[in-house]
Amino acid sequence: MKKLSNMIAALALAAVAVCGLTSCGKSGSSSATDTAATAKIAVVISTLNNPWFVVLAETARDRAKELGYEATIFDSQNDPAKEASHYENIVASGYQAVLFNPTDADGSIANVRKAKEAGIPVFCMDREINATDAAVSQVLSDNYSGCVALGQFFVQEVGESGTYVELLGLVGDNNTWNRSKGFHSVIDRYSDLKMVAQQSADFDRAKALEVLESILQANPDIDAVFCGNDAMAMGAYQALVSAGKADKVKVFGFDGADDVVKLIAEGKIVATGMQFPKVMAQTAAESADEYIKGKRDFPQKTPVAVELVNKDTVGNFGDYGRK
Amino acid sequence: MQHSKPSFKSRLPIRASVLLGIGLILYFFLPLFRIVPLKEAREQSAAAAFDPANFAAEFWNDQLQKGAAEAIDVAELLSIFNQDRNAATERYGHRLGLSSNASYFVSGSGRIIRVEKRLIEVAIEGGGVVGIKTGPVFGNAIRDGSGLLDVSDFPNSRDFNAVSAQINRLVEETVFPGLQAKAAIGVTLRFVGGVDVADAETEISRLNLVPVVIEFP
Repeated sequence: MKKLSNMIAALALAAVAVCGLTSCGKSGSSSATDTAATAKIAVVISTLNNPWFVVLAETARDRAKELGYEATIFDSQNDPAKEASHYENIVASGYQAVLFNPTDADGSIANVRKAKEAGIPVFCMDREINATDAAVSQVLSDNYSGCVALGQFFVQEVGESGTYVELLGLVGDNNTWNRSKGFHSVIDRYSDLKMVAQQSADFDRAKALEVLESILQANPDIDAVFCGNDAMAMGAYQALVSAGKADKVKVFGFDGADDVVKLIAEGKIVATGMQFPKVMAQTAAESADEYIKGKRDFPQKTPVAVELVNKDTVGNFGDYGRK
Repeated sequence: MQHSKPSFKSRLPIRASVLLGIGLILYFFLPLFRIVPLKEAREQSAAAAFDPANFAAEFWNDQLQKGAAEAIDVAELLSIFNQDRNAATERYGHRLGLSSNASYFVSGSGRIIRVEKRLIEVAIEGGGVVGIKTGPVFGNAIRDGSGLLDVSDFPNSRDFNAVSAQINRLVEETVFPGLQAKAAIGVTLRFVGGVDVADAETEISRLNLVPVVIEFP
């Protein structure tokens, strides 16, 4: 009886091995197009509660679809726990690549490593993780240089003296600090430009409205507001309109969101930095496709230049890029 | 006469001392944990963190000064610009990622023809005029123009950008004082520096470079 059960087990193992080898042989001999046709790509986005990230997510998804993949968007809602849960689903569901916009430069590393251990390559878009051995590549906005240019224009517009407020993005995101440091690398050289308040509004329009309303009560005579993204610039502008100060206080944003670009054309917001989300999303999707087809040599980080959008250049920009 | 063997009880303190000694030696070399004062722990942690000022100083002394010898002659670069900007970028320029702008590391000699608050203009040997900044330095003209640093070698872009800011500080602290003291119309000088140039579609009126080396013959 024991011999018989051993024999059955051996036969079953052999059958599994043969099936495995056969299927390996099939996938190995199939064309890249066949692989692409059946493969799934996950697009994990920090938040969809911001039009800029919606453009990033949808462009990544659409480019992946154009390349022949089934693509799904996962919204992390700026919550690292939700992001971790998405990764568990992705690993369990047999995705072949992740196009990833992280919620936290340090906190998201573990998720990328989890996918890597499961053999799923990750391609970061726009936001960085603080590791160079986890993601296959990271396509990132050159936030620092963009804000250096924005800072120089700020001095030109506001002058070498005055008071201003800075609204920061998510404090755990490298982009927040690259933007802030780029801006301050210029502004701090002018000792008569005084920052009267610096507060986080989490890249969120509604929060920026609330935060600036509160700051204005203590500092009613500011000259300018520098916002770490355009959603916050819209919220800040709204707060200034409500306070009857929109004509006096100069607002600067960062992202190149369509609504801000339109307000720059109307002379209501002074400037922003165009980040090219479509370029970043398309580059990440194409890199994932190349990886799946066998390419392995990718630069770890590819910065994408940010361009200044102001009253003189606004005509060159629209639809989240150059016209 | 027969000596009686020491009893197990009498040897116990010796064995315990030997074992304790071995244990102490092992603990010294292979400690499971070590207690350190909080202040010392903070100092160790700070020492392990990336120091952009130190990195920039070493880069300035060890790589940038050597790289200065290989800078492209600015008169030659201007000549190629006039024919085909894209060709100049391909041959001598450095682009950071998917940037449309390019940065260059250039050298030349010439005579000062104009002195402004934060810039001097120099008529260069070989024809043409360049600006040399003498005021606050912003941006990444030297870091990127030198082509010697790669963003992928840095664990995060904050460090990469902090290095650029420190390089700019070194320019202001070590190059500008001498330049500002001697800058006058008619003075001749030799220069090496970095310059950012906009994409081929943007018209350039003048190259404004950030100096790394200034020499007055």
